Amino acid sequence: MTIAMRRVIHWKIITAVLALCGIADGVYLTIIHYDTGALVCSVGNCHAVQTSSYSKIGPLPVAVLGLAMYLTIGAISLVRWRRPDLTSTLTTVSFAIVLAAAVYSAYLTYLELNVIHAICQWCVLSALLTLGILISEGYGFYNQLG
Amino acid sequence: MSNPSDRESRKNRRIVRKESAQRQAKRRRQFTVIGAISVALIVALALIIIPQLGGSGFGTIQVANASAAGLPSNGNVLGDPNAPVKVVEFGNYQCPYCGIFARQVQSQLITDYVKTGKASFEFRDFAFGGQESSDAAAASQCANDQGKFWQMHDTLYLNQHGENQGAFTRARLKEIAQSVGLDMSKFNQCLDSDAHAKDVQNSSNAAINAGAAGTPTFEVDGKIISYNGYGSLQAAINAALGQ
Repeated sequence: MTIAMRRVIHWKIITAVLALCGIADGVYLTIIHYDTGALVCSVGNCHAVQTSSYSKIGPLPVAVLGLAMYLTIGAISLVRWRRPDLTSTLTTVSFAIVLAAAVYSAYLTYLELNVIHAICQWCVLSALLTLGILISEGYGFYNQLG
Repeated sequence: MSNPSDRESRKNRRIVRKESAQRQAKRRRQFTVIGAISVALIVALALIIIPQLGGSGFGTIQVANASAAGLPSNGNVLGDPNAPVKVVEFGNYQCPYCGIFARQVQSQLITDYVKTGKASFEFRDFAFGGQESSDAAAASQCANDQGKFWQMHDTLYLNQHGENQGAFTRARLKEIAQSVGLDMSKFNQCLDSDAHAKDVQNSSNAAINAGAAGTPTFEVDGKIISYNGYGSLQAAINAALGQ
């Protein structure tokens, strides 16, 4: 295995692992959106964030949107693993999705700090996971441009 | 056998084709990068802007004209504390009928009886019906700590949106408090630490002990009246005044 191959596999694995963590976080955030009794929050004020008017887009909880994003990135990781010939297209799609998610995450973090005046540790974790996937996918996207 | 000029010509054509292919590949890469970034930014901006067009929020917070303006007030008691008649409301910030009273009737009561010194008007929490009721009541008590009970009281009733629908989440209560002009670091500390949770609970228990079975319940000089609009309240106050 060449150094270049190891490097290529490396960022794909990082994305897949971060997406798996994101799925777990997204499932938990979705559960506590509907059942705040299940909320465990040792840092910040998750209750205020989870019940704020910004926790939904219309009828859709933001937690579900995040979960869908992580599931999509996870699925892309899986397909990319099984179908290397589609890597280029899938990496472009994955990069675009996670870039959108990162921009939206930054906006949500701004709301937590400046509008809601409360921080939710699980939301911060999600923002950090999204940033990690953005860096990983950005690296892969940049590399495939040659 | 080709002559040197033909060979040179073929070589030049190959170079031109190669350069053309390189230019196309570069254009494709640029298109991919610009396309991916543009799509991502459009999606992110849509997610940010769409809710602000009236999707998820409850719109702009309406700030009430303080009913206490120009009147003596002591916390949740409005008017002269030594007024001959004492009117007490046991209310719940999520209760729609309390909202109707606060928005439509309260000003008449203040004009006719509180401003004239005939009666004082006290609001007591009877918070039931969910967390948002308790949190809104606690928020009004936190505003009371800053001497702005009535501004908060009136503004809360002006911003009712159903029961337990998110109108009085803690985050929303903080937005309302900010609109009312409270010191936000003090207010956040008060609300987040549940400083008045016990007070709200005690007030609600006291309301039940006083005989209140629902909201709004009115007491005139310690006696619960049968309230069905301003006329019934007027009649009870006039009777207490001996008119």
